[in-house]
Amino acid sequence: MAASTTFRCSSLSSACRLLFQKQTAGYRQLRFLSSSSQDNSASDAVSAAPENEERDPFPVFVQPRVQELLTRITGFDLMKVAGPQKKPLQRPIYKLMTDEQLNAELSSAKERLQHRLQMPPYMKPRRPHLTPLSVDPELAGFDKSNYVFVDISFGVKDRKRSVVIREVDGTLRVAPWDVKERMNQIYNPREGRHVVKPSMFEEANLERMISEKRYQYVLDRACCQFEPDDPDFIRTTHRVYNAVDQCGDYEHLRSTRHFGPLAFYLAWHSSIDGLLVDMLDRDKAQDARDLVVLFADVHPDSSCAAAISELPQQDDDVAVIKTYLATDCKNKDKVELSLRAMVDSQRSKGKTQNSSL
Amino acid sequence: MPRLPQRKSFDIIRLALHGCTNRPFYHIVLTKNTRPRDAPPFEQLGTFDSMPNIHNEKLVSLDIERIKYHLANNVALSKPVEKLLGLGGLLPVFPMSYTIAKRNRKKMEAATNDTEEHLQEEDTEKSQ
Amino acid sequence: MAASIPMINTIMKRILILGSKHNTGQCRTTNLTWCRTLMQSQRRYQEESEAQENSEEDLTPKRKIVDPETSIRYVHSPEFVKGYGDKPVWFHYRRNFKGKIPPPTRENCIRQGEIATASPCPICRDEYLVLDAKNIKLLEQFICPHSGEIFDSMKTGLCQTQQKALTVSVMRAQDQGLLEMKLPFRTYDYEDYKS
Repeated sequence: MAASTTFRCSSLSSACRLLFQKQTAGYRQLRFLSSSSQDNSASDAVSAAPENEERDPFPVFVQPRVQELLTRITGFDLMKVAGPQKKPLQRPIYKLMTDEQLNAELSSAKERLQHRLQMPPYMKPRRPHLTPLSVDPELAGFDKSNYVFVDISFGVKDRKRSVVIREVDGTLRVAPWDVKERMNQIYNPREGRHVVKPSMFEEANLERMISEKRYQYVLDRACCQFEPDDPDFIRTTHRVYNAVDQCGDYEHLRSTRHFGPLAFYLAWHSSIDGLLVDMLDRDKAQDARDLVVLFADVHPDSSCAAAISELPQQDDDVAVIKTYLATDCKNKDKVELSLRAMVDSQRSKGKTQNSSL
Repeated sequence: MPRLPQRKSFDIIRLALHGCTNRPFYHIVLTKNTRPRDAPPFEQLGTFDSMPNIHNEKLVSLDIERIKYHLANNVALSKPVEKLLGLGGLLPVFPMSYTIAKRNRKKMEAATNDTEEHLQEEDTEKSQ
Repeated sequence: MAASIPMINTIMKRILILGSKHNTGQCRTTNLTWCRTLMQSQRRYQEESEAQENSEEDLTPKRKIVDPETSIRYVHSPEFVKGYGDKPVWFHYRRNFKGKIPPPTRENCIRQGEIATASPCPICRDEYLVLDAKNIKLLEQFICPHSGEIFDSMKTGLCQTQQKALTVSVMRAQDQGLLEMKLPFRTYDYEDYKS
C-alpha cells in the first residue's frame, strides 16, 4: 500500500495547483460529505420555518405518557393482531393442553405479538432543501445530464445517507427528497418499497380504495412505501383518518398499529367527538377517559387541560369526560347522550349483578 | 540477458468497465495499476453509470468512508475518477471539467447563432 | 370451386372436459361439458393448392379478439358458471405429454391470430378470457389463496406468453390497488426521526 507521492502529484500540474488554491475557499464549504455520522442537513440550510408555523407534533407523539395512552386506547384483540397471514399452506399442529398451559401460551403470544402494534411516527411534512452547497457558473454545460452522487458507506442509515446532485448549470446541492428516496431504494432495496410511486396513492385510486373501506391495506402499504414525514404519506394517512372519522369505522382500525396515530390525529386537530361517542357506545369508559386525557396532553394550553388538572379525583372516568363536555366539546348533545346511555347501562349492569348475588 | 525493469506498481482508484455491448457500466475500484482493467480488484469503492436514466441523471455511488481512508494513505487516482470526485464535491473540481464546460458552452452558442442566422435568412426570403 | 368444401375442412371440435378417462390415480367425477364449440381454423387444414384458390373472405375468421370489459362481463355471467362450475378455469385442463415428468409448457398456443395447437392452454382456448388488470375475478383464480403467489405454469398449464401476460396484469392490478399484495411489516426506530 506504500505508494510514492510523486505519482499522486504527477496528475496535478502547477497550473492545476493554482486553480486548487482558488477552490480552497469553496472547498471548505464542501464538508457535507465528511463523516457519515454527521447529519448532512445540519450543514446545509433547509428552507427556513416561518415564524407562525404550527408546532411539531413528533416530540409530543413520542412522550412516554402519550405513547402509553395511545397503546391503551388501541387495545389488544389477539385474534385480530395474530390475524390470518399469507403463507404457504401447512399442516395444522394439534396440542393437548391444560388450562394453565393454554394461558401461558396466550400470554407468551401476547408478548411476542406486541411489536406488531408499533405505531408509525406522526410527523409534520418535511421541507425542501433550498440553499445550494456550491454555485459554479464556470462549470455550466459540463454535461447534458445531472450527476447524482450517493454515499454507500457501510452502516449508514437511509435517513442519514448523503445524496448530492450536480446540476447541468454547475450548482451542487443536496438532492431533493424524491431523488433521495429513489436512490435509497436503488442502493438499499427494501421489500415492499418501489422506486416508482404506486398509482394506488393517486387521487382517483385512493378515493376508490377508501370507498371500498380498505383502510388497513392502504395504511400498511403507505408505511412500506413512504417515510413518515413524506408529504404523500401524510396526505394518504390524513385522508384515511378523515374517512374513518366521517364514516365512524373506527372498529376497522382498532387493535392495529394505525389506531394510535388515528387517535393522535383527531386529538391534534381537536375533533375527538366522533371517536369518543364510538367508545361510549361500546361501553369503553376507560378508553374514553384516556382519549380526553390525551387531548389535554396534546393541547396543554386549553381550558380542558386546566380543568382536568384541577379535578380532585382523576381516576373517575365520567368526571373527566364531563369536564371535557363543559370546556372544549364541539358536539355536546351527541356526547352527552352517549355518556348518559353508558352510565345508565353500567348502573343496570351493577343492579343485575347485585340482584344475582 | 538482464531482466528489463518492470514498470512501477502502485495502488490506484480507477474505473473498471463492465456491462455489455452498447451498455457500459463502470465499477470504481481500488487495484494495482499493472493489473488488467477488469481483473478482480482489492476493493470496490463504488459504481458509475454513464448512461442517463429516465430522469436525465447519471448515477454515481461512492463509498466515502473507504475512499477517504485510501486518499489519506496516498493512493493514486485516474483522471475520470478525479473528475467524478471533483463533481461530487469530495475533491476540488478537476480543471478539465472547466475546460470541457467552456468548450460545450462555445459549441452551444455557435449552434444557437447558426439557427438564428438561418431563421433570419428564412424571414428575409419570406418577406421578399 | 370455392363452393365445394372438402370434409376435412369442416373440422368442428367439440372438446369434452371430463378428464376422468385419462386420470389413473385421481378420481375426478365431473359432469362438466364444454358448452361452446371451438373452431379450428379452416386455413390450417386446407392444402396449398386450395389456399391459392380460396380467397380470404371464404374461410372462417381468425380467433376473435375480445376487449377486457366483455371478458369481465363473461366471467360474471351464468354461462361462465355453466362452463367451468365453481372451480378455477385451469382445474380441469389436462396437458398432453409423454412420460411422467411434465416438460415446461409451450411458448405459444396462438400463431398469426389463430389457435395453432390441438390442446390449447386454459386461457387461449376460450377467447372470452382476457387477462387484464381490471379482470380481478379471473386473475384471482391464478393466485394461491394461502401464500398470495401466482401459480406456476406447470400447475395451471398456461403457455408462456399467457403466463407473462398474467404476471404483468397481476403486477398492474397490485400497483393500482385492485389486488392486495403480500406486504412486509415495517419496523420503525424512533431514534432515527428525533434529530
